[in-house]
Parts: sequence; structure tokens; C-alpha cells
Amino acid sequence: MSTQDRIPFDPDVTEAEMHQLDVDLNGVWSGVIGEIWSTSASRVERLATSILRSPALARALVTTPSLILSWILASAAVFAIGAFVANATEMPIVPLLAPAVAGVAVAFAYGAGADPTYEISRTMPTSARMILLLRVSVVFLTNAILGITASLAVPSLAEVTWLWLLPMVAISLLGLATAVVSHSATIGGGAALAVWSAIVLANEIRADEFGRAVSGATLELLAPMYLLMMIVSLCLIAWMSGDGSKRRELAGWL
Amino acid sequence: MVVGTVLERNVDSGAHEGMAHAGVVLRDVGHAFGRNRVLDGVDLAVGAGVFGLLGPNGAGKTTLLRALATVLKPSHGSIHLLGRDPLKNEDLRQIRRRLGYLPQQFGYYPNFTVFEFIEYFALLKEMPPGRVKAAVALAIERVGLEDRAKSRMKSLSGGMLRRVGIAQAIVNEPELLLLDEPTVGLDPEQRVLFRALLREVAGRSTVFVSTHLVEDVAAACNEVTIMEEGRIVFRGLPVDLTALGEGTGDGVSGDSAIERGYGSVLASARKR
Repeated sequence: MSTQDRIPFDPDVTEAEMHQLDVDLNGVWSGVIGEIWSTSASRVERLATSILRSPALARALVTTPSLILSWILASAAVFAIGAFVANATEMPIVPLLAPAVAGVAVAFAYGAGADPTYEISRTMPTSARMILLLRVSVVFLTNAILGITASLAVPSLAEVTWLWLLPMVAISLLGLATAVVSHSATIGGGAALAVWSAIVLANEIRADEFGRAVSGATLELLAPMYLLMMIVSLCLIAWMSGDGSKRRELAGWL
Repeated sequence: MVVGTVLERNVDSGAHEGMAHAGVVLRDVGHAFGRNRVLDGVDLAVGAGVFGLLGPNGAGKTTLLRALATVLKPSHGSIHLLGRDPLKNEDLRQIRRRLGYLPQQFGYYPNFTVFEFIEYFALLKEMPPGRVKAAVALAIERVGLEDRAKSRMKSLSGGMLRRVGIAQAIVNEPELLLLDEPTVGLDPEQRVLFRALLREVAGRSTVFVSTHLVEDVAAACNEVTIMEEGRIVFRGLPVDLTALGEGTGDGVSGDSAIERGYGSVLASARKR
């Protein structure tokens, strides 16, 4: 624009006259500044927003403690090492690892003790249960994909590729239920690890065979136990995780 | 006894005024952690204004604020916030849309920028998406962090982090604002600005400020409530608390009249 084209500024316009304008100039200014200060969402967050149709849920998802990049890389490394060892030794390392890794990760999808903004997040109108469901689903799916990928990399164990998904679901739900009841992701993760370790050791002692816990016969035997674990855990999670639930604050007892 | 008279007069008048525009109504609210009773029969009714919460460590201030913030469900008693019952799911959601809360322990995501962090909570508060960026920018300006809006949270000082915490609490123009130790880490100039912010917000909102700094209460609060062992032992105007402190003897500590008034209220409460 040339100097002649510019709209001349009138220095005699008073503040009172400015206030009479039918425009909220402060609001406009804040909007402009907001656009300047804001940063573009990551590709993952944009994808989540378009799928979930909710920027709040998308942002809540990318702030999940067990979905941060370092956590995912660590899980991938564990599975990769497990696949390497399994290929070298033909032992079912990946199926043995998967429920433990997923159980801990799912427990840490629950915020208490892991999410630094957990206290403030509990005062938000966005449903805590919805956020938890979303986080747990994505964390479990992520770990399932990592586990399946690692299993497929071990040709000798192709037959057990899918069998360990059942204990993986059960242990994950157990870890989450313990986290919700105890109000601590760490306790939930510990419970998942402890229970799975006990199952693995008990089966090894019983059959004197490494990896017996993820054999077809054992999984068939333990299927009712895993199903019961899942049902009880789901009931506990549903009862204790709602905003309007009657649960008492347990934190003071721990 | 002078203290008893002041307590009686101010509690009655405060409760009557509070009921007319009750933003917060508590009736016989109590809570215990195991055998430790942290709230013990709290009755309160307040409307718009700034209400200071004072008391020694363990008096129940934080627990009371957590109950008002709907983080914690009291063991017994009833709470009504903004005319609604937080035990009903839909009411709870409506309350939380109009609520702002800064906890005593304020956690943050280190790699978020200041803007991103406040924006996250604006989104979770279900603010209309089209208004979020402007509201976040305004909140940042109100706490004086314009030059740090694009800085990572991990690069901020303790006082700046506290101001970010205040900003996320006010971003949705809350009708109920709860601030637990909001001035921790703020320098004197920032505390003056914070008090001005409180006065601005108080015209249209109910604000609870829990603090150990008696001078903050004197400068910014319409009313003062003192808690001791889970109970309210004083409720009144800052000038009333100051009056209690004037002419007190050597037995009560404090550098100012209001501090001595605070001390005398506690001393009296502990004798009972």
C-alpha cells in the first residue's frame, strides 16, 4: 500500500469514543495474540483430534505417561531384545514379557502418581472415565502391536503369537484395577508384575519347563482364571473410576 | 470474652449475607483420613467475594479446598456449589465448567510451552474451541507472563510456574476460584499484582485463597476464616482480626496487629 492509500490515524479520537465502537477490541487483540503464541499440534495429536473429534481428549491422550516417546521406545527395546534372545535360544521370551510390559504400561495410563497434573485434571468436566478408557485402550493396543511384531520376528514361536494376548489383557486389567483402587500407578504396575511373575514361576515349578505359562495347554487350563480376573477388574474399575462414585479417598491410608 | 463475641457476631452476619447469593454452601462437612479427622463439622455459606483461609499446618485448609474443588468427597455433610449438588453427575460437570483450582502441589508437563499448558486445561474445561486461544492469551497477560508465553515450562522459575498455575485456574473466567497457597514464590511486586487480580475477579466470583501470609489476607480479602484442627474458629472481616490484635500483651506473638489477632484467635481456640 502506498502512503496515499493508508487510512489516516486520527489522534483526536478519545478513549470514550473508542469504547462506543461496536467491537470488542481487547477480545480481538487477545485472539490475535493467541494465534501468535499458539504452537501447531503434533501430527499424532492432529490425527487423534480428527479421529476423536475432541481436541481435549486428543491432548489428554498425548499426555498419557506411558505413551510418551521414551516409554514407547523403552517398551520396543524390551520386545526387541526379547525377540533377539528368543531367536537365539528358541525360548518363548516375548510371550513371557508381553503381559508384564503391558500390565505396567496400562497401570501407568492411570494418572495418580504418574501424571504430574493429576490433581488439577480431577477437577475437569471432561469425563475422567472417558479419558481413562481412551488412554488404556491406546496403551494396550500399542503394546499389543509391539508384542505381535516381536513375535512375528521369531518364526519358531509363530504358534504362540496370539495365545499370550489373553493373559496380557487379564494382567493389564488387573494392574489398572489395582492402580485405581490404590490410587497409585506404581502400586498397580507392581501388582501386575507380581501376579504375572507368580503365574510364570508357578507353572515353571509345576512342569519344570521354561515358558510353560504361555504354552497352549496351560493357557487353556488357566483361561477361566484369566476371565474371572478380567471381570472382577472391570467391575472394580467401573465402580471406582467414576466421578460420581461413592468411593472414599484412600490416599490418606497409604 | 472479646474473641468469643467477635466470633459470634461475625459468623452470624457472614452466614446471613452468604445465603443471599450462596456460591458455596457447606453444612456440617466432615472428613477423616483413617482415624485422623481433618474436617470437623464445617458450616459455611458465602457468595461473591474473596475469602481468605488461614490456619496452622494441618488445620484442614487444603482438605477443605479439595472438597470444594470436587477432588475429594467428604465423609459426611453436604456441599452445594454454585447452586448445584456435586453428587449428581450432570451438576458436577456444570460445576467443573465454572471452577478454577490451583492446588498446593502444582505439577506440570516440562516440555509444554506456557501457552500449550494453559490451553490444555482450557480444552479440558470444555471451553468453546473458538474462544480458547483468546482466553489463554488473556490469562497469560493477566498474570504478567506475556514474554514467556512460548517458553517451555521447564525453563520457568518457581514464581513463574505458580503464575502459570494461576493462569490455568482463571482461563475459563470461573465463578468459583480456589487457590491454595497461590503466592508461594512470588516476589512482593508480583504479590501486589496478584492482589489486584483477585479484586478484579472477586466482583463476579467466589474466591477462596488459602495462605500462610496474613498480610495477603489483609490486603485482598473481604473476609477471613481461620481454621484449627478441622474446625472454623474465626470468621469475620480483616479489620476485626486486626482489632483483636491491637492491645494484646506479650503472650501473643506477631509483628503486626493482624498477626497478633490471628495468634490470639488460635490461642483462644486451643484453650477450649
